[in-house]
Amino acid sequence: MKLRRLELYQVGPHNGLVLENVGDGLTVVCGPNEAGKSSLLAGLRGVLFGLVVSAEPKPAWRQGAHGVAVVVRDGEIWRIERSLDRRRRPLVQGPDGRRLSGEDALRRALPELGLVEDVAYQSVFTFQLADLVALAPDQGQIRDQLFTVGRLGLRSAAAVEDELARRTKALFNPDPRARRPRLTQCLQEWRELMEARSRADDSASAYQAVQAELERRRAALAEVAEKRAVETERCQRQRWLLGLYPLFLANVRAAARLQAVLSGIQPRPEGLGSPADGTQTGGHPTSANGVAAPDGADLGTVAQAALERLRAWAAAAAEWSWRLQQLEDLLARVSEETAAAAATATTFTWFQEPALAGLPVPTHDLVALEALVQEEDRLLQQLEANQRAWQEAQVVQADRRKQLLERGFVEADAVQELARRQAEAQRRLAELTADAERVQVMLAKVRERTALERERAALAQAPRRRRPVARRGVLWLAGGLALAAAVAVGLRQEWTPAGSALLAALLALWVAARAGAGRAPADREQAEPGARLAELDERLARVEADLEPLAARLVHVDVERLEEPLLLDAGAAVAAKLRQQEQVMQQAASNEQLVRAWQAACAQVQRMDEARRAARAALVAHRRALADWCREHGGAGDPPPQRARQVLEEFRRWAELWERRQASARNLDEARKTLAELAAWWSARGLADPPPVHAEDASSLRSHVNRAQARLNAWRRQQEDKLRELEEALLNWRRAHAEAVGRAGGEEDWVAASAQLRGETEESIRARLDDALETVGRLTERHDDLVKQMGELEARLRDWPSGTDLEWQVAALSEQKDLLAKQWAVYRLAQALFKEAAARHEALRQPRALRWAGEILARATDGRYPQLRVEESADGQRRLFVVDAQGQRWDPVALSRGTRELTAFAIRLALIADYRERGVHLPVVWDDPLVNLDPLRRSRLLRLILEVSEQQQILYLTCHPSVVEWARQQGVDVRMMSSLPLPAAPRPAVAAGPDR
Amino acid sequence: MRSFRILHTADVHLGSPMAGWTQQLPEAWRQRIRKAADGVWQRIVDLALAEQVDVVTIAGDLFDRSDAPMAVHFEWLRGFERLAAANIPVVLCHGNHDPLVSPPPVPWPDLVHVLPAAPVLPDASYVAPSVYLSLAPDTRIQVSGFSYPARALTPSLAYAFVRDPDADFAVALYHGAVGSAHGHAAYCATSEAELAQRGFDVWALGHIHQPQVLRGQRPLIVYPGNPQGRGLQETGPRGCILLDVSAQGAVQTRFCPTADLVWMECEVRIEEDSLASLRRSVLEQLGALCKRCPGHWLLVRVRLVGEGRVAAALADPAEVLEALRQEVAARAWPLWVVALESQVAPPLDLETLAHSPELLGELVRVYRRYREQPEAARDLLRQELADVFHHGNELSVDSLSDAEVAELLAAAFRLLATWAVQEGAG
Repeated sequence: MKLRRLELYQVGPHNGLVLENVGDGLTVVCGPNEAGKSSLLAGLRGVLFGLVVSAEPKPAWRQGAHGVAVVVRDGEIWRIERSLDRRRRPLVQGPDGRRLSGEDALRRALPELGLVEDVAYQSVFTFQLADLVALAPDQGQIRDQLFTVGRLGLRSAAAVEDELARRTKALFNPDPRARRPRLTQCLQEWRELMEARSRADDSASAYQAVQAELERRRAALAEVAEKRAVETERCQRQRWLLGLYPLFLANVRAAARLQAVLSGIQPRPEGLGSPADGTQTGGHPTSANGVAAPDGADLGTVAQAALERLRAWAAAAAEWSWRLQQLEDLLARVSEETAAAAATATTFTWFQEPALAGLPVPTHDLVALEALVQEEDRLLQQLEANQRAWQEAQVVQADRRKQLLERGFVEADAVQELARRQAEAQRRLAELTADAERVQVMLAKVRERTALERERAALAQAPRRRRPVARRGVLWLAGGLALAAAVAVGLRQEWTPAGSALLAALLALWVAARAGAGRAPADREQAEPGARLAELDERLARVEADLEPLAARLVHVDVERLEEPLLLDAGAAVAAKLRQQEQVMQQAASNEQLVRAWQAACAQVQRMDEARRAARAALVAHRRALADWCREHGGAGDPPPQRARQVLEEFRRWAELWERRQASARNLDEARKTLAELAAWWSARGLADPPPVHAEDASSLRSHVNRAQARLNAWRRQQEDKLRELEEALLNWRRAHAEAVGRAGGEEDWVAASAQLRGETEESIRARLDDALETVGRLTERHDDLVKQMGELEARLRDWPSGTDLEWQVAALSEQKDLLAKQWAVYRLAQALFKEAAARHEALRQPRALRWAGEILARATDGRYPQLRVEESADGQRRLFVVDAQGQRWDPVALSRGTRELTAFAIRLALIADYRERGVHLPVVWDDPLVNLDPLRRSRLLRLILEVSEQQQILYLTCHPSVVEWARQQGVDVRMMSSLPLPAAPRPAVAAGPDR
Repeated sequence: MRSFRILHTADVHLGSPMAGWTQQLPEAWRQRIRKAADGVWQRIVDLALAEQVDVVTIAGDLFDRSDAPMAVHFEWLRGFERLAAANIPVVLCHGNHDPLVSPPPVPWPDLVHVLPAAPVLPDASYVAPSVYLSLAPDTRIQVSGFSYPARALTPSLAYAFVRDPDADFAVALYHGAVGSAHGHAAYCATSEAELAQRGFDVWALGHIHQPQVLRGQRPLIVYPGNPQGRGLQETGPRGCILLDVSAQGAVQTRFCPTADLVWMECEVRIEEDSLASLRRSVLEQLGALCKRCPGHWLLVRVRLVGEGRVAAALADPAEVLEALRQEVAARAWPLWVVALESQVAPPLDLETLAHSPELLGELVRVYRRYREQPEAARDLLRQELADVFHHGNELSVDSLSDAEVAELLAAAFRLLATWAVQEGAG
């Protein structure tokens, strides 16, 4: 589509035809300022695209403004008329004269107008110099034409690079302002650690050097410690002396007092000084001339000896006092004994005082008297025993007599009666025994007879064998019942019936047994019945013959018939009588014993009576002998003594009295001796004259003892006072001495300290102590310093920098460093790879328009800026860059204004070419775009424009004569525009809008 | 000759810290690795006493450096004194890490025999010194060897080992590389064949930290390895070699573990492209490791390899690592995941992408160019990493192996590719 004619009404200075017969190529329209060049440009845009260019800064048209454009497309002429001040539908008149209305009709008629956006037309096809401020229009169509570049997925190349750069910098960024890039930080820590490791000399030689240094310090420490020990000892010594000094003074005072006390007891020992001497002389208490140091051993020994002596004296005095007291008591007892002896002498019965006066009791007499006493005792006991035995025999005799009478005996013929009774009993017993034997024989015979009869009957009759059996059974049964009855009665303790029952039972059982035993022969005899019968009869006759005499000889029982039951009863009766007779026999034996006892009792009474009488006679004889002995030994008195024991007791009392008198005499002698010893002890101590002892009797000796006791007590009290004083002084001295010794640490130390303290003063000791303390302090400071140094060295050795620890830290950090470095390297390499790929891609795959623009720019700048490139930033913003001949990328902002405008112009030329390639041919109108170019570039560009105009209709509006001149030289159509004033009143519109 | 028993160890590197851990390691684990590293010598002594060995031999590298800290000297002395109290002699030589330049600062017991240093300059007449131990009247053992006089001693000194014909048994202590150096410096490098010719019964070696028996028959040639792994480069059980020598001179070896703590590598390949299956696989493999090494503490580096969209989720391995540590802690496994390396690449068809006009295609082309040109890649690293990788930081691009350079580039490319996929998927 090419413009041929343009009319503008109420647009800028235009109000009518503006251009006519415009050529296909380049047309230069020249006009001064305000000639309407910009209005022409705006008017043409308005006619073609309407009031859509909102970016139009200041509409150049006035009310009622409208325009008419006549264009040619494919040889057809189209007329377009459009109102410019109001939004109205355009009017299109085709080549055939047909009139159309509306945008769609316009687009259908002229499709190019539909292919280009109005803004694109404004900025690309019709622009002024001011429009070149924007490097490239940023409209949708143009963006696609200019900014199509490579992408990685949906991520732009710039975004990829930015992400990689971000990651890379997050790891490593030497910029100190960077926020803790990990690799940078790791490297820093690693370097510090490596430096620390290099500083930490943990090698063996360093260890040995430290060891040697430690040994040196140790030796120095030992030396200092030794010195300090010496000084400390000195210090302690002075402190010790200072502490002992008050004790030393106290000791001196105690010793002085003790010496004073000792001097009161005995002469003062040599070598001991007296504190009083020192104080009296007015010198120092411990000066050598004043006070001798207390010699603990000597003074203590002397004092102790004196003390011991005093104590011995006191003890002796106490003992003497006690002995005198004892003596006094003894004398008192002697007096009492003497009086008692005198009283005792008056109490004798047979041996009066004159008889025994002053004579001791002969021992043989005493022995003889004791023998008499013993004999008398023996006789008395014998008499008493005989008397007692006689009485007992009499009692027994009476008892026996009474029993005899009770049993029917007469005392006179008891023996004969007894013999008679015994004979009678013997006789009766023999008879009963014979009867019992006979009954038994008879019973046997009867049973034999019965058996014979039974056999005979059996032989005679039919064998009746059951009868004997039944009878035996009856017998066994009867025997059993009788036995049971005997047991039952026996359980009730009725012995007689029980015995009877027992006998009956035994009898029955015996008979039954016999019956059983005799059966077998009977059976054998059945073999010969006849002979047997005869034999049986014979035997029966013999049995009967035997039975008769037996029955006749029975004495105590009668048997009516010789039958077994009766015989059994007779047997039982005989047995009962036998038992009665046995009791009678027992009674007879008892009677015999009683008679014998009675006879023995009578004999015993007789014997005892004789013995009693003999004993009494012996006692009488003995008393006579006693009386004779008494008389022989001076005994007197009437009646004569009856008992030898009484004599003996008196004799012993007499001997005892004699002994007591002898003891009193000995006590008196002892008292005299004791007093003599006291007098000797007394005189030996030189206390006073001993009291003479002249008294003989107890009372005078007692008064003498009392006097001696009083004197002794007075002396004793005096000694005790001295003793107490010495004890107190010694105690004080010992206490002071012990405290001093204790504080000094021993006797030897105290002696040494005492020797050292002589002549010393507290000030002098304190001065030496201060000096020693200062030295010790200095040495302690040095010691502590050495200890500290040793501790540090030992700590270094002990905590010897374990190279392994540092190594391990280095290892961990090195690994981390390597990992991070590898990670960084990956990012960095990705960055490099991508950068290279993107560069190649951008270089090879830039949009056509951009490439052309680059070529235009290169031509205009003579190759200085050969390329334009579009890049997309991380945030999706695409930006144009100018690449110079060296490949450096320039942001257009950084370029000069001319170059920037040249770049923008090149881009637009390229875009126009791109549109043209796509079949879009629209008239191009430029309003002096090359004003800021230098002449060289302008001429190059004008030539280029001229070349482009061969394919593109271009209206170049300018006010520069140089351009006009150039155009004329090039044969370009030049139209001149004059500055026309605006008409006073607007013309009526030649073209009506759709609403008209 | 009576039978006897020798405990052989080497490369104790006492006092050297373990590598491969950072300050993030919990305190309890730090204590464990400290105890494991610092107490290894005492554990070896415990083993010697428990097994009632007759001789202990140490083939060099007692210390990690010549000027080792005194604490390490004391630690060695303590162990030597315990062995001496049990009347167990020790024969040792110094290695390249602790060349014999001076006597120990603390004298060692008399029962510790240190083999003197070899001459610094090659000397064809040099004969390696020997120590003779009379274990019984009829058992006289020759232990020969030499200490390093300096840190580097390159020529083979196998020729200096001379077997004494009067000795009943001969042991050679040799600190050097026999055969492949396995990444260690090739000091005193020699070969099995050369050693076998010297007539010794046992070559007790040191220097290579990986335990291995190079030759099982006479002569026995054995590396005990270091007794405690000290980093992720020394994975698996570590210990000493116990040599039981019969009366006839036959030698039986037994590996006795002395490592309290075992470093392990756990490589998990992406099978299913989901985080759940990845988690399951990792935990299964970690559980299997715990069962395989009972009674040991494990320090494990988990390496995720393979290809999948899960790579996007692994873009921040720190989060995954923390989650994995929590999973392990919940199971009370004696295990600590020291690192998680994700080498999982997004599922990209690089061949196709290499022809793409898009930016990713360009990126693929750039990456492949550097991958195919290691020197160019190294130059790129020198240029780009110069800020950090320099001598002052003890980091150097030149010290990186080609594989490490390639891995760095691959990691960088994986990062970008992950972003491309991640964003594209989103």
